[in-house]
Amino acid sequence: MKRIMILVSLIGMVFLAAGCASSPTVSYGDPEQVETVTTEFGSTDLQMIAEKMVNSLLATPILSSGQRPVLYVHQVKNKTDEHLDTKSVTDKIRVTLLKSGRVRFTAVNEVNDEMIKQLEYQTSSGYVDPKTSSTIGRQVGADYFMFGEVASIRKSAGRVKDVYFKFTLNLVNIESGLIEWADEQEIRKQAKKPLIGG
Amino acid sequence: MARRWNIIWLIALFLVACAGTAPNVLHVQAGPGGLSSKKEEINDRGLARKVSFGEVSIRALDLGSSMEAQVILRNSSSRNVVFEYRFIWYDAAGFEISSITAWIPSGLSGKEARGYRSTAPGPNAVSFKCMVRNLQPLTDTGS
Repeated sequence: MKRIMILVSLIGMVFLAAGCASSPTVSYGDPEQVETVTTEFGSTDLQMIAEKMVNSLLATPILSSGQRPVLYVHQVKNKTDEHLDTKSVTDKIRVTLLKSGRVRFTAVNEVNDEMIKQLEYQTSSGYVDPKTSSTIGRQVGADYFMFGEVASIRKSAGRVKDVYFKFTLNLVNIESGLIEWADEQEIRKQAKKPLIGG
Repeated sequence: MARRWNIIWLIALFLVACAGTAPNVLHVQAGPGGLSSKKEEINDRGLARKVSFGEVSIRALDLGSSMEAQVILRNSSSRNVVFEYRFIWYDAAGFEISSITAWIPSGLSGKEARGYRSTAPGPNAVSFKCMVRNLQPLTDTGS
């Protein structure tokens, strides 16, 4: 019995020492693990939205006709009251769609100045071998563009905090001006502060 | 002596309770006409008693070169359940095809059954796994 008491005391001391350690504990986590640190927009929300949008887009006839349409992402407006990097959401969607091989994206909307500068350098500077330089007027025009918005409703009462996010994405046919596809993802998160601390 | 064994058993039980459990997995092989075969791998019997795999539907997309799958997940209990799920797609050689493979939190009301869908990330996809596990949040401190 005495030995068990000593053992239990030793284990307790180890835990106490670990708790008092001054250096912070840093570890690598799985980026695919569900994250619920706070009610703010987080990595799991980003992945949930991207998953839903990609699944929905890949199933639409526009992307499943074998035509490989050309798209660009215009803008996702952040209508929430928190800083939210909407570009990371659309980047995730774009990367996954590109990997599917069923769609092409034009970079015109994002790096047009750089492309023009490079084309001018290649065609007019005299530094580039004309046999290897890119030709002006050969860019591929986009067939569709994506735009959307993210909104949130935030409420709190007592120890409970409730946040609702709604992410909407639309696909517009540039020629006709018609919204040919749209989908939305809703996320609801709740947090309850502990009675003591927090 | 008996007391010592009781304590050892208690510690063992504590360690088992703290350990993570492997997810339940539904392996699905797609054929030319849709579903070819499916096999359940139950690793968490407690979860399987609450959330069970139901019918699997596969439909062709992209003029038959790609597909969309739907797996019915059924809450057999009368209480609400929360869980995480994910789909992982494979090509004919068994290589994982890159897509979003993050765990997605979800929930089902008592006795509710709902379809969970995933679209094959590429035309070379021939099989997929639908995985379900108990919620394992990275941290849950509230805010």
